[in-house]
Amino acid sequence: MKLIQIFIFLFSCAITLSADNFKEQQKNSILRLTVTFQTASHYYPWRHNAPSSRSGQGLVIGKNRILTLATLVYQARLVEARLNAEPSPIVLKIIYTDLDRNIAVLEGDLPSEAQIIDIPQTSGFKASQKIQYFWKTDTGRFLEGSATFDQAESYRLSPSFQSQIWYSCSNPTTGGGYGEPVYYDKKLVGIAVYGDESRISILQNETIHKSLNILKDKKNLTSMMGFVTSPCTQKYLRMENNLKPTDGGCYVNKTFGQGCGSKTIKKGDILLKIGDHKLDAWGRYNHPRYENINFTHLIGNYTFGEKIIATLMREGKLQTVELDPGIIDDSKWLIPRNRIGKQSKYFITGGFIFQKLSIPYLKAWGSSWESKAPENILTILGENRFKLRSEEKQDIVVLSHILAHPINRAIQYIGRQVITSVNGNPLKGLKELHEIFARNDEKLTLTLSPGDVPVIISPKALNQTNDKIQEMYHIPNLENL
Amino acid sequence: MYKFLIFLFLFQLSVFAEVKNSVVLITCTTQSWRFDQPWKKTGLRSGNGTGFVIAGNRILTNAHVVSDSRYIEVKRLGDDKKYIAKVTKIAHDCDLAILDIVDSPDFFETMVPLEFGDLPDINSTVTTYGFPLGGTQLSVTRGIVSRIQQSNYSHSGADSHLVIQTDAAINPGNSGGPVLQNEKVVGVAFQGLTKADNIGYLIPTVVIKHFINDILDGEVHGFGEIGINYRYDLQNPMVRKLLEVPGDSSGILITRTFPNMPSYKLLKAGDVLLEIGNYAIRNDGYILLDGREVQFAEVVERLQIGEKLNLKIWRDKKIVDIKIPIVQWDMIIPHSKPYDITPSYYIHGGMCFSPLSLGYLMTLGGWKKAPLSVRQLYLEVFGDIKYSKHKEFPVFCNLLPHEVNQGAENFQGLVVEKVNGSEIKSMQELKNAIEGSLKEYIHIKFLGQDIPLVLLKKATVTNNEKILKKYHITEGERL
Repeated sequence: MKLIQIFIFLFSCAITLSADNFKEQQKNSILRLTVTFQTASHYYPWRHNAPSSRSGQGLVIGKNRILTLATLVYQARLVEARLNAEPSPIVLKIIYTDLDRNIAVLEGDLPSEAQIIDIPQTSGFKASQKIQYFWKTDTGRFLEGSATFDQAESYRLSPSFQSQIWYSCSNPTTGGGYGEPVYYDKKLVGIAVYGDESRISILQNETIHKSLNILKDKKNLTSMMGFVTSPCTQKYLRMENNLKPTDGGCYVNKTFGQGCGSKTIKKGDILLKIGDHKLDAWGRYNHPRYENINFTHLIGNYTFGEKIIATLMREGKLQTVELDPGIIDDSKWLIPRNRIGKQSKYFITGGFIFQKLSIPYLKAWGSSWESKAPENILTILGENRFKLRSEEKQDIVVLSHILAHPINRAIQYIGRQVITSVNGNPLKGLKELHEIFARNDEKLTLTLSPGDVPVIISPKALNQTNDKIQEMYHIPNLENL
Repeated sequence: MYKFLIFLFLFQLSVFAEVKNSVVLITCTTQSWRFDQPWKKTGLRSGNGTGFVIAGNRILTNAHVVSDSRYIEVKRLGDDKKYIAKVTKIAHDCDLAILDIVDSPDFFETMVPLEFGDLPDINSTVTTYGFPLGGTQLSVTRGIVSRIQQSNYSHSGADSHLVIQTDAAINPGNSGGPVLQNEKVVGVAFQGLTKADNIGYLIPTVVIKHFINDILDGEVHGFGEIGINYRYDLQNPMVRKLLEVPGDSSGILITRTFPNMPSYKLLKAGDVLLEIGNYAIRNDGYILLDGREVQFAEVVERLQIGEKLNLKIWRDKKIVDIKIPIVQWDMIIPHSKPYDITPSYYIHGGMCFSPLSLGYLMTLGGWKKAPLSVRQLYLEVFGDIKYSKHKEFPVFCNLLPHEVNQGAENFQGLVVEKVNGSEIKSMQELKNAIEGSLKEYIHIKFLGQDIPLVLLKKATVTNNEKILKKYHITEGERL
């Protein structure tokens, strides 16, 4: 009996020691990051908003190398880190930001006790399992939380077009989502990306490795969806396309001008298979570990040079097509979606603020911008949202607002309007408009949308007031083209 | 001074005695149609208002007192009998209505019709008569005329006419009551501001007279428009110079004209409107009319539909004289609140379509709550030439779920753009396109949607009657 008691005592000591070692290792692998960031004002495009700060966690993944979330460090002016309670923080340098996969890599002189953490290639685990996550507070306290893994989901986070698999976990013991490393059975399974008091989402190891591979070599860039699907659950739409209820298949309702499949897939196609994965009517396939999961992340498993075989129903006929991997380049959109860290392109003359229409500009109307931004601009957005820039149309120019000055008296309230043409000629873009103003003509007619509303002005007269307006409104630069 | 006060008191008493025989209490029971379930009516509501007798044995009141009326009673002061009345003319754009007594031809024998005066002076005193907040005794309040200007008429929500602002309290029940000055009606009490103290509004006699003259031919035509948008750019010296407007001329810059309006052919964006009806327009859009500063649109307001108006335009460095007819702006999707309207509808395969209207949008909580494609259509339709051939825009307003319309719920609230590839420009076209289709499947394309709604024609046709019966709907259409 005594022997059994001694054995149980030793066994429990071993477990405790093992747990302590595990935690100790985490303690020296996690850094508390404090990021001072500054966003550009897209409504006053010459301005930056006041600096602000956010904090989160970083993971030591190499000698003096730290992994964290791109969303934590984007637009950073200064990144500081503490491994433990060092009196002075370590200043880190961002060497890599991948907003599509939400990964960033930083470098800095880390203390000698910093321990490198190995990121396993895969991170699979099953629903209902308990996960652990760790983080450090501003004062260097090391804390632990836990949550329950519910399900894996596949989706993309705006503005990225790269779908990923995310682990959704419920009942976290404390809020997470700022880069905390997450463990199951003492194995790293991913990092927490966002969350609240009821849920946290975890970016899986596979995505981290995809991103780190791109850092090693850009050839490892993975493919992004060049089309959008919606559920194909209409009984008669399916019948008309010769689809049985058991056939599955989701409806392609939009194709972009870029990205994987954008040239091959057609609006109205019903996508039945990607590779060997059969899709259901909601676009889900049977994942070996996570069961029904949306297919969109599969596209991100392909790199350039590979072919993606897709099976689809087109006009009632079964077809197999080869899709070339492709990426979404934000700079190719007529209306850019993402100007993170960049100021809007603009120029000001006579108080008239002309700038490129972009999603960040519309976000000046707040998180509900899609209902609160001016309807006329939303109409233009709706018509051009996924169109690519072309020789004829480089970008969409907005007369954002007018800085009041005697030269623009009585017309200074015109604003939030899109300029469609100048002197009756369709406007190509901001640069062309800038060139037109630089000609210093006596008279010019801008046409605003909707309704072809004219604004009659004198570039020469407006240009002459620029110095005064710059001084009046303390504008450092009247243009950023 | 003492004698003067006695005289004033006696004068007021005499006016009150006369008004007592002119003012009536109106009780109205209303019921309207539901725009989201257009085969159904709303519940009954009842309210009070005031009216007064005018020449020709008629009772004048506000349109909003008797809108959507099902039953109207009128009570005279000092008479315990209630008389049944009916609306003979109603103009929602200017919030005025004429009532007649149905069952008692002698009703008007003892009544004294009130006469109309002119616009009162600013800072002069006016007296309001009415039955505010449900009272049965005549209430009299005095106030000062504080402002006369163009303002929105909240009954229609889309019309703007001249109003008199007063500090006399205007409360529910006052509506339709006469406002007198020197024994003559100078206005009809009609609306107040809820967010401000003691700000009430009166419909001035210029608007009332327009209404009375309008109905002389037995029909209500309403107020007309010329159909332009404009800005006050000529206040800017740079723009004035560029437009090369002659000498001391002033005016407003026309920025937009609208399809289906005479302005579309006669005027163009960039024209400068110098004169309207021989009144010179200032750079701020005001004119001097009868010695008062009023917005230039007041000239249009005073004319009846069908009349013509002289405009002096500065175009391409030349003065051009134009005669433009005053017309009613017949919007495809009216922006005014709907009253006394029976919405049309068409139900097929359990899907109910009705014309997109403010009435329908109000059931969503306002146009801002509609899907983006519908909001944009609502705001831009009247200015877009591509829609000028449209009569209506059928909106999928309600769904009666059934096996044959599975999946249709995702399209509810959207406007039909095409059926089997053909553009739909009216409710009748929608019906014809669906019922006349020889194809096995019907494709309904909704505005702003990439995926079509596909129906099996045989299935919907076979089940139409069954669905209506199941949901206790007696009529499958009202077109």
